[in-house]
Amino acid sequence: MGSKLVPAVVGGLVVGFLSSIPFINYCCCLWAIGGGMLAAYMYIQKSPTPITVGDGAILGILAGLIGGFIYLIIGLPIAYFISAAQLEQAMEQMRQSGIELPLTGIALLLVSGLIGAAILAVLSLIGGMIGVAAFEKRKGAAPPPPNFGAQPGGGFR
Amino acid sequence: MAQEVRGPKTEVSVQELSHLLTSDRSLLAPSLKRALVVWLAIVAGALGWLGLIAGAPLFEARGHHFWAQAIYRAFSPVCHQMPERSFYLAGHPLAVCARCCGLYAGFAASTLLYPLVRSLRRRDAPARRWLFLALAPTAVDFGLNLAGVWENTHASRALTGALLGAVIAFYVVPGLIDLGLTDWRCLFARSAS
Repeated sequence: MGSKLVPAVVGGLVVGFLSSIPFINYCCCLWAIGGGMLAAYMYIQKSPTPITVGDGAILGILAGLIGGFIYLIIGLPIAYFISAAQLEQAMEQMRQSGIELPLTGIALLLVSGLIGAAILAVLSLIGGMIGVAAFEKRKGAAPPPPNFGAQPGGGFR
Repeated sequence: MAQEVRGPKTEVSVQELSHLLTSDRSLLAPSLKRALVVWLAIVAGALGWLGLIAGAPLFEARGHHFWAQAIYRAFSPVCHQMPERSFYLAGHPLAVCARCCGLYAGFAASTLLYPLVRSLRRRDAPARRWLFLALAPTAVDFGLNLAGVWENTHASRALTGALLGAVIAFYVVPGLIDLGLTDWRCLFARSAS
């Protein structure tokens, strides 16, 4: 797991930060998928053996979870400050329709933030798999371990 | 050739075969039942995703503002959600733009039809050239619009997105099936090394 962590963190930073910043996040799902692809690319560069699409999925979901967490920490406060007026309008609509939840605004931000983080994680998972398909040029199975075929206990024959 | 498989070498050959069977997962007989479950889960996920996108305007139209706003806001980090670039349902824009909508719809349709085109036993992704070919129409549509050569439409954005989404499914489904059939103990042992 350790060797996957650094690519996943770097990919997660891309997913989390770029998806949180207003206007930059206008590039549709590019950053979420791109973060997963970046994690897969970094892992492929380090790995001595070809990696599978399943490995890409793991890298993508790790990057997505980290990115989703960053989005919750950074993106939600930014969203709150950027769209406070819009949020107030939405809450007013809710009050008019009879929804009187305590801390409605915060509840709305939390629910939308959690769903948003899950969306980022899923798209990053897809990005990880696409990354393997796009960047892994090597073919074939992993080579046998160094002591492969040796007799138990070693020694010369 | 026959002599090579006798004596001590035979022992190594058996070990080699055993290693191949345990390391190269494509040589193992895949559990079709498990692959089917994974595929069904992907189909359910893709349809649920579309349901969320369509659910936002429907919730809004029926006065469930909380859930409508929650969905709209949840998709805001992954889509610009410009109303003039979105399809409408029940008088309200969908939760994502036309291009994203096409992308997800194409993915869902392709996932649904996947077993008719490609065996669920296969765990390898298609060649990457198909991915780049599928990306080309979206890139051309986006690029020409950006350059002011032509004004793209809802239909062009959605159709080029749908093509890309449909092709992406052929990389995602085998990957998730591979993941679903993975022996997790081996995976973590491999990751730790």
